[in-house]
Amino acid sequence: MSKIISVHSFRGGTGKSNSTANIATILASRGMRVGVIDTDIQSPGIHILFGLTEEDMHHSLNDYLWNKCQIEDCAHEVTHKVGGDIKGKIFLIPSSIKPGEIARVLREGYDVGLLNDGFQDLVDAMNLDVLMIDTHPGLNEETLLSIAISDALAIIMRPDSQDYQGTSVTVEVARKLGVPRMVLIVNKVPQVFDTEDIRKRVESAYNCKVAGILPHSDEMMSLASSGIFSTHYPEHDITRTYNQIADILMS
Amino acid sequence: MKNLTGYLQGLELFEPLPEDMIRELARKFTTRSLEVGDVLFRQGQPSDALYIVTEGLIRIVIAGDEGEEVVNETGPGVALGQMTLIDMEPRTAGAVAAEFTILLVLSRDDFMEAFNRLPVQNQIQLREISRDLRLNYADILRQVPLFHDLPDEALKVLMNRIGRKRLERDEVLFNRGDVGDALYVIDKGWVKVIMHNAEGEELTLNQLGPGEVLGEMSLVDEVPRAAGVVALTETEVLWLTRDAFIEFLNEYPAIAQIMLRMLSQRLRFSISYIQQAIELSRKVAEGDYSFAKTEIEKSQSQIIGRGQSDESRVREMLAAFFSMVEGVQKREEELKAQVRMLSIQIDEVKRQEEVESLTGSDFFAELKASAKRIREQDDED
Repeated sequence: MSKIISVHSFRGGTGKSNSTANIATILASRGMRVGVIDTDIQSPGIHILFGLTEEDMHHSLNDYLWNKCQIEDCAHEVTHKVGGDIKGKIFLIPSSIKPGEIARVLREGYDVGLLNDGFQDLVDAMNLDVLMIDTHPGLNEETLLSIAISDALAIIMRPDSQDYQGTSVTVEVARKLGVPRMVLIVNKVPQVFDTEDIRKRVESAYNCKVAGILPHSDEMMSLASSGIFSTHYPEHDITRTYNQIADILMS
Repeated sequence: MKNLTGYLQGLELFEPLPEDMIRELARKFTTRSLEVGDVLFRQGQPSDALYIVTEGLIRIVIAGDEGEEVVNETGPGVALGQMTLIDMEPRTAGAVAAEFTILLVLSRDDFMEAFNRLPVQNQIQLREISRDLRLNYADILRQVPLFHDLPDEALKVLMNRIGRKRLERDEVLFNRGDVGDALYVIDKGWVKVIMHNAEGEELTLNQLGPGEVLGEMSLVDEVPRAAGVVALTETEVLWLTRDAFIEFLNEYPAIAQIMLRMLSQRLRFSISYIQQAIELSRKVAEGDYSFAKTEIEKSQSQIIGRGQSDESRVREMLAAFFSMVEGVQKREEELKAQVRMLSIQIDEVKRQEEVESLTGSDFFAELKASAKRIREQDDED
C-alpha cells in the first residue's frame, strides 16, 4: 500500500525542500522506493539538493503538464547522488528550471486535474512505496489538490510571528479536506530555546501534533543547498529528528 | 623652590657637608626644561648629575619585552640620582618628561669638585652615606605601612632581621599559590605581578619598583600567594620572614597596636567596597544594569595605578561583578526574545475569513468530494 506525503509551508524560506529531501532519503535508506515531485513550478529548487543539473534533466513536470510525455518519463533516478548507503531508490520529478518554461506556466496555467492523475500514475508506473510532494508555499489550487489527495501532510513553520497566522489557516483547511494524518514541524529554532516548551505551546495553539523540532544549525547552513544533511551527518541530532518525523509520517 | 639650600640640607647626601659648601653648591645648580617626550636620561647610562624636579612631571620607564614600560611618575620636590651620584652607577631606569617640566641640575663634576675639597674623614662619611642610601634598610622599611610609625630604635632591631635577595631579570620571586611566609620590599629594580588566565596566558596585573611592598599581609596570616612575582630587571629586594617578624613582635609588643590600626584601615577599605557591592546588587535586582556597569567602571578606573595587593583583589572582585551583570543582562534579553517569539498569536476572526474564502469555492467543494471518493476507493482496495 503506497503513501502520498505532502510537505507544505505557508511561507517560503522555512526549509521545506530541505526537509522533504532529508525525509525522502531516510525512507529510501530503509529500502523503500521513494518518488519526490517538485510542484513548486514557479520557483523550483529541490533538484539542487539531489545534485541534478539542467543538463541532466531530460523531461520535467512541465512537459507532462503540456502533454508532451508521460509522468514516468520525467522521473530521474538520483539514488546514487545523495551519498551514503541507500538500499531503496529515489526518483525525482523536477520542475523545469528554464526561465522560458517557468514563464509559460505562469502565463498559461495548466490543468490542475492532470496533476492528480499524474500522482496516481507515477505511483503505479514506478511502483513507489512513497510519493513525497514538495509543494508551492501558500494555498493555491495545486497545493490544495496535493493536500487533498495526501495520506499525510507535514506543515513546516518557524517560531516566528510571521508564520503563525498562515499556518493556522493551512491547518484548518487541511482538516476540512479530511487529510488522515497531519503533523507540524518547527524548523530553524534558535538553540537557546527549550524544545519541550515549544512543542507544548505549538501543539496547544494548533491542536495538532508536532512531529519534530529542528534547531537552527550552522552545519545545515554550511551545507546550504548543496547536499543532503542526513547522509553527511548520519549521527547528528537533526538526522535523528528527521528519522522520528519519517516514522510518524509513515505510521 | 624658594629655599634651595634648605632643601639640600634635607637631602641625605648633603647631610655631612658644611653649610657654606651647601650654599656654594646651591649656586652651581642650573635649570633645564623639557618638552613632553624629551628624555632626561636613559636606563643604563652612568649617573652624571643630580636632578630636582621643580615643575611638571617625570615618567620613570624601564625597558620591557614590548618596548618601554612606565613604572612610576615623579612630580615637584623629588630628587633623582642621589644614590648613584658619587659612584657613577648606571641608572636603574630611564626618565622622560610627561609634561612640560623644569628641573634643577647639579652636574657630577661640580659636586665632585666640592667633594674633593672635603677633609678625607668627611669624604669617607659621604661615601658611607651614599652606600647606605642604597642599602638604607631603615628608610626602605619606613615605606612599609606596617612599619611607618615604628620608633627608630625598634626599626634598628627589625633591620637586623632583614635579609637581602638579588634577582636576575626574569627570575621568579614567588609563584601564585606558594605559601606566603615573607614580606618583600623592593630596593632596586622592577618586578611585575602576574596571573594566568583560563587559556594559560600571562596577565600582568601591576609593575612595582623601588620602595614598594609585596606580601605584607603574609606576616600576619600566611595565606597562599594570590599572584606570582617575576623580576623585570635586575632587582634587589629586602625580605623579612614571618618567623623573624614574630620574634620581633615578642620583643616589641607595642607594634601590635600599630598593626591593629593598619588592619582596621584595610577593613574599612574593604567594607566600603562591600557597601558598594550591596548597592550595585540592589540596582541589578531592579534591572538597572547600565547604572551598575557605569559605577563598576568608575571604581575600576579609580583603583588602577596603585599597587596594593588588597586593591588588586578588589579589582578582581569588580571585574567578576561586572561580568556577572553582563551575564545576567544577556540572559534576560535572551529570555525576553524567547517569550516574544513564542507567544503564538493568531487572529481568530482573520483566520476564519481566510479559511472561508479558500473553502467557499466550487473548486474546493469538488476537491473535497473527490478526495473523499479516492480515499474510500483506497480503503476498498
